[in-house]
Amino acid sequence: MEEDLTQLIILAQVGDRDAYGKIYGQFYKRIYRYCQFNTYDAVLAQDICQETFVRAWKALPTFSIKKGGSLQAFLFRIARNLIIDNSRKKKTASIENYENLASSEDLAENLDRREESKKLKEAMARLAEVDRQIIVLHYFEEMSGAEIAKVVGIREGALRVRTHRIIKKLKDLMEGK
Amino acid sequence: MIEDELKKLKEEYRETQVPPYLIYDGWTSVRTRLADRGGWAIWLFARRIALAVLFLALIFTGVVTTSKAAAPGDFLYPVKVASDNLYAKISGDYQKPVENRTQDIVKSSSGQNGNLDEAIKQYENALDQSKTQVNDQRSKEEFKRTLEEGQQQLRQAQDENNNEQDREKLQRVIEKTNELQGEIKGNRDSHDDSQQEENKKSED
Repeated sequence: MEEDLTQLIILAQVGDRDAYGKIYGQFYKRIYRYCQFNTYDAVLAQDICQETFVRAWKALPTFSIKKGGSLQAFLFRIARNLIIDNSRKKKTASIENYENLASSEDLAENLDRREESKKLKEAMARLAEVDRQIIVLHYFEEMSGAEIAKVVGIREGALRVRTHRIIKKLKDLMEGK
Repeated sequence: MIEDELKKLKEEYRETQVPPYLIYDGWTSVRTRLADRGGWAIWLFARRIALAVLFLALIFTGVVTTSKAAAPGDFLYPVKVASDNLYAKISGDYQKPVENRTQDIVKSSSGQNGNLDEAIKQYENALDQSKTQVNDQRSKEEFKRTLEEGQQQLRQAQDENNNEQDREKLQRVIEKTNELQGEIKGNRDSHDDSQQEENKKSED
C-alpha cells in the first residue's frame, strides 16, 4: 500500500492524472470529513475538499517523499489552510466561528445526544483552532506526531507536551472550571 | 473519562456521510480543473534529480579523496584500491595500481603505516589483474620497467626491515614479481623470435 502510494506520487508529480485520481480515491473521504467537522457545512466542506486536491496537484512537484514527507500531512495542511482562508473571507460557519456554532442551540440539537458528548464538543469549540486540530488529527485521524506537527506547523517535540495540556484543558472545560 | 468521550466522538466523526456528488463525480470534477503541468514542473523534478546526483557525486568524490590517505587495513583502504582499479580500467594505465600497491608495501614494511599482509595481498591482486590486461608490446615493455623499479623498492624495503617474518613475506613478493617479469620477458623473446623468422622469410 505504502509502496503503491509512493509510486502513485512519483507518477503524479510528473503529470500522470490517472495516478493522481487513485490518490484522490484514497484520501477524499478523509479530507471531506475533516472539512465537514471543521466547517459544519456540507456544501462548503465539499468545495474545500475539491479545492484541496486542485491545490495539491499544483504543489505536488515540490512535495518530497525522501525528506520524510507524508502525503496525508501535505493534504491536511492544504485543507486546513483553505478552511482558515475561507473563514477569513466569508464570515460563515468555519473554524473561526466554530465556537459560536458549537455553542448554539442548533448545533447542540444536531450534534449532541448525550450530555457528556455535548460537553466535550462545547469544550472542543472553546479550544484554540490549533489545539482543536491537534485533537482531531491525533484522536480522530490517528495521525503520527510528525504528521500532525507538519499540518499545524509546530515542532514535534513541543507537540507531545501540548497534547497533554490540551487534554487537561478539555477536562477542565468539561468540568466547568 | 475524557478518553472514552473522545473515542465516542471519533466514532461519530468517522461516520460522517460523504455526499454522493463526491463519490460519483468528485474526481471527474477535480480532473477537469487540474492545470497542465508546464515545463517548469518537469524542470523542477529534473533539477531535484540532478541535485541528488550532484550530492552523491560530491559524497563519492569526498570519500575517494579521503581514501587516498588510507593505509592497508584501514576502513577506507578498499575504496582506495577500488578507485585505483577503476582509474586503470578507464585510462588503460594498468601499471598505476601496481606502482601504488608497491608503495603501500614499502610504507607498511617500514612501519610508517598499514598492515603488511593486506598490502601484499592487494599487490598480488594488482599484479594478477595487470598481467591479463597488458597485451601489446609497448605496454609490456613499460610494465616490465615498472616491475623492475618496484622490485628494487621491495628489495630496499626488505633490506631495511629487521623483522624476519616480514623479510620472508617480502621475499615471496619479490619472487612473484620476478616470475611475472620472466613471463613477460618470455613472451617478448618469443615475439622477437617470430618477428626475426618473418623477417628472414621475407629476405629469402
